[in-house]
Amino acid sequence: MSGTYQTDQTDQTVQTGQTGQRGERGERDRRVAMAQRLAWVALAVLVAVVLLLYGPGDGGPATAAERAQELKETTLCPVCDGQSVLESNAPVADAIRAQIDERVQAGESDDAIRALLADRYGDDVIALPPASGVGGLVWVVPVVAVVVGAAGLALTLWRWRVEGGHPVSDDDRRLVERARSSRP
Amino acid sequence: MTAVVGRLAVVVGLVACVAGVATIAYGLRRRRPPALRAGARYAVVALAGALLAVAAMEVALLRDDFSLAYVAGNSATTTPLMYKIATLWAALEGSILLWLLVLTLYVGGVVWWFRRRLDDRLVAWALLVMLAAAAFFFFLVAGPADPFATLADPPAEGPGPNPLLQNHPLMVIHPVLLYVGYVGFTVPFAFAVAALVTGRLGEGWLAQTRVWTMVAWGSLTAGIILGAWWSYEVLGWGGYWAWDPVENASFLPWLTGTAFIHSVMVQERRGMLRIWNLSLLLATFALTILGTFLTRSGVLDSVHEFTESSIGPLLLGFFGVVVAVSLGLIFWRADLLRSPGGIDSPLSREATFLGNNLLFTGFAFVVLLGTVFPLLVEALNGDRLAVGGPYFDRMSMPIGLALLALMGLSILLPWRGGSMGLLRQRALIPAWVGGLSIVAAVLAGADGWAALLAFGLAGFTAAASIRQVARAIRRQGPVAGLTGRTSGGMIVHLGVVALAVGFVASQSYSTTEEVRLAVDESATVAGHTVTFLGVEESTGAGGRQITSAAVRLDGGEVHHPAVTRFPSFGAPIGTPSVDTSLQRDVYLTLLDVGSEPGDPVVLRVIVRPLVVWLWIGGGLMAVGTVLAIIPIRRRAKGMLQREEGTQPAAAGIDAHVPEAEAADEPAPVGAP
Amino acid sequence: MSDVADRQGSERRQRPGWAARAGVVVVAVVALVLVVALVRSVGDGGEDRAASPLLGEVPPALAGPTLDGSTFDIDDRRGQWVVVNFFASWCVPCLEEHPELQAFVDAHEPIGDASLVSVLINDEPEDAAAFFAEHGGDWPVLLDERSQAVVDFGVTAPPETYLIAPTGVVAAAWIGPVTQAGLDAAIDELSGNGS
Repeated sequence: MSGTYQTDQTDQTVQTGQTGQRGERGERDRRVAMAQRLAWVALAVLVAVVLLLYGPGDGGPATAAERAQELKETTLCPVCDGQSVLESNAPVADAIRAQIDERVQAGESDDAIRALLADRYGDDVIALPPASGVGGLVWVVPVVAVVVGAAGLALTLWRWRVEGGHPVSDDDRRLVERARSSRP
Repeated sequence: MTAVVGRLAVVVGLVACVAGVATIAYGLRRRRPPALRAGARYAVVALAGALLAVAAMEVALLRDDFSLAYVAGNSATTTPLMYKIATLWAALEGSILLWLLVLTLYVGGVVWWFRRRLDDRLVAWALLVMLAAAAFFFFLVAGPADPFATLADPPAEGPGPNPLLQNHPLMVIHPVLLYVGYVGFTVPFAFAVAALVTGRLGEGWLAQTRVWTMVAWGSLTAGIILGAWWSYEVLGWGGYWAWDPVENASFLPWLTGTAFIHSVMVQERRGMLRIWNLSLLLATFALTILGTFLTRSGVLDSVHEFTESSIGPLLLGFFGVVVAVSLGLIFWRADLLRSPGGIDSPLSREATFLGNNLLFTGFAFVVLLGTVFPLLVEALNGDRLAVGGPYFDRMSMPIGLALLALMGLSILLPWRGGSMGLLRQRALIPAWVGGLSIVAAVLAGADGWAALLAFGLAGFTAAASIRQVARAIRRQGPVAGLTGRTSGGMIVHLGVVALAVGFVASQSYSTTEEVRLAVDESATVAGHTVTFLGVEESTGAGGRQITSAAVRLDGGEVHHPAVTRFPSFGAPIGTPSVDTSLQRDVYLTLLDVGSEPGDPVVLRVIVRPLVVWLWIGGGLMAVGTVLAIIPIRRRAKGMLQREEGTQPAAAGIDAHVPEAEAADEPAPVGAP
Repeated sequence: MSDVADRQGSERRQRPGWAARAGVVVVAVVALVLVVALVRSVGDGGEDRAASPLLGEVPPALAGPTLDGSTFDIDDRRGQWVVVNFFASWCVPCLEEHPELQAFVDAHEPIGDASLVSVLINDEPEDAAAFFAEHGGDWPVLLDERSQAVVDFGVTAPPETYLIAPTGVVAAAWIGPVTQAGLDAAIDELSGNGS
């Protein structure tokens, strides 16, 4: 029963002399369809409930250790080739890690710590590009590109739909008839 | 002596490539098939040249011939044999030599594979393009990146390769696989250019190069994953992917290449998306060149950085030429590339593949943008900023989720279009599997909507893939059902799902802590107890000094995270110790040993769930790729017949669907 | 119905491949921008370290326990030139500049116009003590065990030296080993400017 194809009008002309069975089959089809619909609704409810309950999660780093860890992961070592201070063994990376620990424990905010490190070692030790200015472009451009791409896709699909794709010709219909009548 | 032989071999290769290009060009212009065949023979000479040059270098390395600057700068008498062989590709000049070897091997392979069709203009143009590329790399090796430069005063000993390159056997395989992948895309690229130039944009060349493309893609995939594995096992920071510019450089062609191998199926069946496919293929090759440039030019900070050299501008120039030629050809042939039809329905496999193309291209665009953005900004207004891992993580999350979803949908949707009813029917069980996966994840302790959604989609897609393989096995029996493009592809998808699950779990739920332990003291991290037992000193291969800490994990096995000092490299290298299981890895690094014996040590303990799923996923992808390649001859021959007009062709290649691969739908109209 | 298809087909033939050509132009522009940016970056030499952001500013607080067990506070040295030298025992150029620093201290201590304080970066106090025991020198050495001074001054690697004027602002910075002559010359020049 699976794989039922959406057929066009030619299909219906082949079904002959099966009215009685079709009636029973119709009843069975309807029950199956109902059961499937129910299954989908149940799934949707289950997933929605679980996501609502467990979706929010931790809400970002909370403890001091986690905050310090995240700061270390997102601060680059100034003299290493692109490694974060967490990855690098360089002396200055050790120093920056120690200071991040100390300042987080002292209660300084993430922004303040990053601002200090950026001031002393340059903006390019902060691994996350800024949200504004020229640097902010790196966030904006992908979003714009995605929107444009999605719009283009929708437009193309719509245009193809409207143009009708392949119109069915008489030759095609004859081929279908021949193929169907030769099927066991 | 070896320098002379090597140099000579390179010159011979260069001359052979140039002669080959000239001969084939002449043969094409004057329509002289004998010239075309002669041109192919030059390819064999070029291959011999590359082989000889590589052999000369290996001989020099194995004999510790320090009169060669490359050997003196990169090898040492104490380097173990396996790593000495691998020193060929440890630094810039040698790695270009390796590229050359792989390229000429591919050219030779193409000449052999198409040996009976050498006077076909399509094949001839493809060979011409490949020989031109080889000529460029021979030129690099002959001049700017000469590995055979000699020293007047050879030293008695060399520094040996960077210790990080001697730590693990994976370092021997990973670059080779990457190169087989990168360079492999030269073959379909050459054929694409040939098709554009000759105007023969039918589907023949696609089928004939399919095996080559899959081999290249499979090797690139394996190379990237092995690189990640090596990074994890060796580098000590507990991660496997840092969105480092060189890693991104290898990822970019993989993204466009993956889009290509899917989108190509639409072209084979419907003759559509031709411009997409050509663009993706040309872009993949161009990105391999761009990646090589980024790795070797030193414009971006990276731990993979090779020494800066003058070949940077040359590679950039080559990239520019490739892009210009590609764009020019598409521009010229744009009217021939109109497809005969359109996508009938958004609920069709073609539509999902089109969406796939967009997502992968978008992903590649984002990665490229993030990687070169610091350069762009600095060139623009002098500001320096960094675009690091967190940017890519944030950007790739929604794209990754969309790709997972699309992967499952495209397996369930039929070609040409199905109805919502059909989709609802087929998707019901996979969707329930996905839902139950979310529940299972929650029971295992997961949270966070993005991760849960990822697990759910992974379950959905896995179920859809398994359903497809099960149907194929039921229809064709176990052997035929598991091989072939569709089933092989499903196994690759299962690998991707495993990889995605491993990635999400290990990124979202790791715990890291640094603990200071005195002898016999313990600490607990994420439910695992580590007990420090004592420090041990030993000497290893090549005179390296190893200081390791014996650490007992969970009252059981003893691990030895260590710090290794190499004789000629000042800074010590950390060697982590990893305890792996299916559910989690416990990753131990020795950070600080203390100056006196009996001092407490500082250990970093990272507990990462499901890391091994990444490597299992990678293995599945490799297995699936091999399975997909297996029944190749039948399809290729069928496509060849169609192109040569010995079979009636419908508009596009609607009618060709062979085997029972796509038999989850009734045979389309007009099938023989 | 076939009429419609024909008309649509001929419409398409009249503007063949315009979308593809437009796409090519867009990609060409993007590629050109990329290549130009890359060409300009290849031309750059290595990165130049920007001048210290502390120049002309009040230096961060510099206080804490020293190697010999007492405490040091830079505020006590107001009115003098203070040379702040970051070093480590494993740092080879630091060893080279050590005699220069010793000479500087010997010259200025009797006069009392300038003094030196060393700050330990990334090192064990025992190793620093051994260093001083072997090579001499008895000026204060700040332990800075939490690396606060290192990060406050933006130090990336030893040796780095900062000169603090009597007015209490950072007057000069050196990356790499210094010499007594260099320090003296800086002091003379900056004093001459009437600070």
